[in-house]
Amino acid sequence: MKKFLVLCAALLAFALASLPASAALTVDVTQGNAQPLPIAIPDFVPGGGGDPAAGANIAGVVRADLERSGLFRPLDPKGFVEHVTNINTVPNFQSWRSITAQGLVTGQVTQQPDGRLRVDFRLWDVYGESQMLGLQFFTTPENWRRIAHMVSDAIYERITGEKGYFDTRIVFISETGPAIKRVKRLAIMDEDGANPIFLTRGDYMVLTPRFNPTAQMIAYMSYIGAKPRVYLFDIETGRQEMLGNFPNMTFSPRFSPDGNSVALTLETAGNSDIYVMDLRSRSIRRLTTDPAIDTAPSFSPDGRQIAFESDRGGSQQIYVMNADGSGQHRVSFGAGGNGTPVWSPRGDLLAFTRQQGAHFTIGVMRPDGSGERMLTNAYHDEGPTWAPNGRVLMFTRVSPGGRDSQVWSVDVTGRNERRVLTPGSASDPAWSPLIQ
Amino acid sequence: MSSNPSPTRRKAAQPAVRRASFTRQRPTTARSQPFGIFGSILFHGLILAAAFLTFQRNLSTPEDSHVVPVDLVTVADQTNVAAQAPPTPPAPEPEKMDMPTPPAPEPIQPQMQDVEPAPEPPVPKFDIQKEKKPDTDKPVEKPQTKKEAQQDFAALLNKLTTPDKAQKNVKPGPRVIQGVGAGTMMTADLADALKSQMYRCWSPPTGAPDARDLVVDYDLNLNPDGTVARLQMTPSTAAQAAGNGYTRAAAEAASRAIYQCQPYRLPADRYNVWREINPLRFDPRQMMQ
Amino acid sequence: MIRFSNSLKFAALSAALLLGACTHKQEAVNTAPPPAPPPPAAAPAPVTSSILPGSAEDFRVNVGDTVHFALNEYNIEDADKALLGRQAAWLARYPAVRVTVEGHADERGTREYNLALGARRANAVKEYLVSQGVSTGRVETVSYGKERPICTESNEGCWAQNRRGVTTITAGANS
Repeated sequence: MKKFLVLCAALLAFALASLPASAALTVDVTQGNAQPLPIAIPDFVPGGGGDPAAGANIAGVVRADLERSGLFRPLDPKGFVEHVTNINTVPNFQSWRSITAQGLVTGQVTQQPDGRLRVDFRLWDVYGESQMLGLQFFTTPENWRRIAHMVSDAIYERITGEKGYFDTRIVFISETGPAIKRVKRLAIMDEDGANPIFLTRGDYMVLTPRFNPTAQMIAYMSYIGAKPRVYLFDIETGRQEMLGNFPNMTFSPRFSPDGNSVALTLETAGNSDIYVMDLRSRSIRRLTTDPAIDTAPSFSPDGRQIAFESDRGGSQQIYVMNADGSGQHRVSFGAGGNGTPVWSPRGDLLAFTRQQGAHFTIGVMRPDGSGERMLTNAYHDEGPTWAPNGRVLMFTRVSPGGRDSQVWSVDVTGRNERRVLTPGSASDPAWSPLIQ
Repeated sequence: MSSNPSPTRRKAAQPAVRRASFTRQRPTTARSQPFGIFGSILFHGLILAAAFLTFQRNLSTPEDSHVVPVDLVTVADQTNVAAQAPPTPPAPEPEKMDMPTPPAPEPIQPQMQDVEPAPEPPVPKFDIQKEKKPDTDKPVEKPQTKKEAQQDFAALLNKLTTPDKAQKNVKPGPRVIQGVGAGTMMTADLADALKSQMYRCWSPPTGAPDARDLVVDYDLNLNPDGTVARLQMTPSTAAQAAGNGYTRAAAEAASRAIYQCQPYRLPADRYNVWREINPLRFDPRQMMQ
Repeated sequence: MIRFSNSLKFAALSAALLLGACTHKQEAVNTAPPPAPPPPAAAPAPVTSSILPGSAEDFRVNVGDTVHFALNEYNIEDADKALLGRQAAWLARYPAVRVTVEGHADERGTREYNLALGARRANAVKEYLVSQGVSTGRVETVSYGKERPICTESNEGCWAQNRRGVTTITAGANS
């Protein structure tokens, strides 16, 4: 019986093997050529009225946004064959293919009778010869930068399948002066470095700002009055408020995903532990009790867990606990010391800082500690923050001896590392959510 | 005790001029409701900054600040301005495809030649090429132009893949050509030939939380001259792409690659084997570690 | 109240620079004054003649204000116990004086970790002073983590200087 079955199987296999002449060929492409998408973004066409440079300005910001992402290669407009004058006709795709463009963005800027700016744009698939996206915005002329970022976000999302991050802001620490007497000020700017604004004067040191989920509020640490405490900064009202009335130093704040509470570290008699304060009731809950240093808490996007760092095992390592403090367990077992875990907005990864001697690098790992990948390799990189789409990280890059600090960014794949333009030296970046 | 800074109000001291100038820098916006709130936030932030720049240490802004009435509206997902001519269907004629003809499918890579069992330098041409356009020899004649790109690619590939995969990937070019010349190409080598011609054009999407969302299948029909006759997603991929932005983006990336790299040079005498490729699968998981 | 006058700051900074980059005697440059100190304390008056007993300068120069720590450690080393003993004795002699102990770390630690480590160090100094008879209410602590280095080279000699606890006088000194 067994033999019969084997024979049958063999016959069947033979029959199948002799079929291909009539069946379709099967191909499995597993290797590609990861390259930025060549995209043509001619200056937006002036549709009448207003600043004649507006169309060029908007297209310029869109090109810069997409180029910065590392996933697009905006083509030099000088090489364009077709001159777009009307965005309401189908482009001559062949002319765009001839300059290797795979995507084409055409847009138009019109000043309306009511003074508002109207921006239309279309995204074309040059090879598929079809429109992938068409959007229209109205705004005041002063708003053109945000429109440009929203156009960039729409293109990014349509092409990559994930949300963009260009219409966001960065809060950071602006640094001036020598390292032995560094002046640190709270500052905020657009994601592309435009519109930088100082929020504090520099009379007292400030550190580690973090946005709340609506980007309305910043939690940060301030040395005002020589008493280092966590403060809240309401961007709308400008009010600053010490968070809670703790007897000792509080630091390393981080909002919960719902924005209703802040996890922070409180130092008592030299020992640092993690607490959570409910912002409405102002009630405080202690989450760690270990005599070790427990700090740098970061919520999971669902709010159920908190990653933090502790040296309870002898060296700084990353731990995860439930949001009520239960179930504390170590997850980092890689080389060196590991700290400052920051949960990805997508929930799939923890970004962290690895320390080996004086060498600090940024890495990511899954929340269970597996799949660890190091993304950077410089003298001293620390303090990662995620873009709202979980695709890009910013961090602080410090030169030896702490003599200079700059903000850098890197793709979660480890590619596209580049410096973020800030006015002067900067550290402790925190990325806002998408501005909706 | 001043560690809790109760902000001093400085309403009167807010000069209108300053407010105006900051408004120009960072105007208030209002898209939908939350957008409006943020715009207002921004405006207040500016006022605050102005206050900081002006005064020693006061942290508050007037409640009655002037919000510039603005709104930013997304009218529709699809513009109401219709294209004058309907977009042509995504099936470009071969004659149109005057984009840079890809170099012959043999990636010439010195470091990989050692791996080859017997790489015969003279590259036999495909019949199709000769019949179709005599000038397709050009890319072969000037491989230097592509050399750097190829090396870059090799470097990237080595970084992204396990060694054996990289080897496997690089091999097919020369081997396929030999096979054609000898008339001994097997079906598997046909697949390799296609892959070796497609991978240059395929920039796989990366970074999705679940890499399985990025695997897409196509049903591809080719003309005898190697151009695309018909291309459509398999039903399962089409269904997934409809509800998953990552899959849709992955499918579009694959489609761009298929069109961009045509015409495919394959042995004419085996056209019955490669006239339909189904499924033509694009699977970037190996490249994502 | 919170603010130094600019000239005072400048004077302090100049003094620090003049005294040399990496000696560990001149702290107090960055220490903000206490919440509401009526007399302008801790501000180095133009140095003219001899050191006034009971002054902040007396404490810094004749007693010593700084102890050092090993990497990632916060225990008081034996070599520093004598110095802290002298600090306690000096504080006993001038009972109106109040101090703040600053804890500092070198650059080899994340910002958050070093804030916590600096707190450990400051607290270790405080505890030792208290064990030597100083009233706990006279000693405050503050951590500056790695934010206030006094030496900015990337080598052990420099790091060792930055891992420190500094006792600074915040009130009650003669001037």
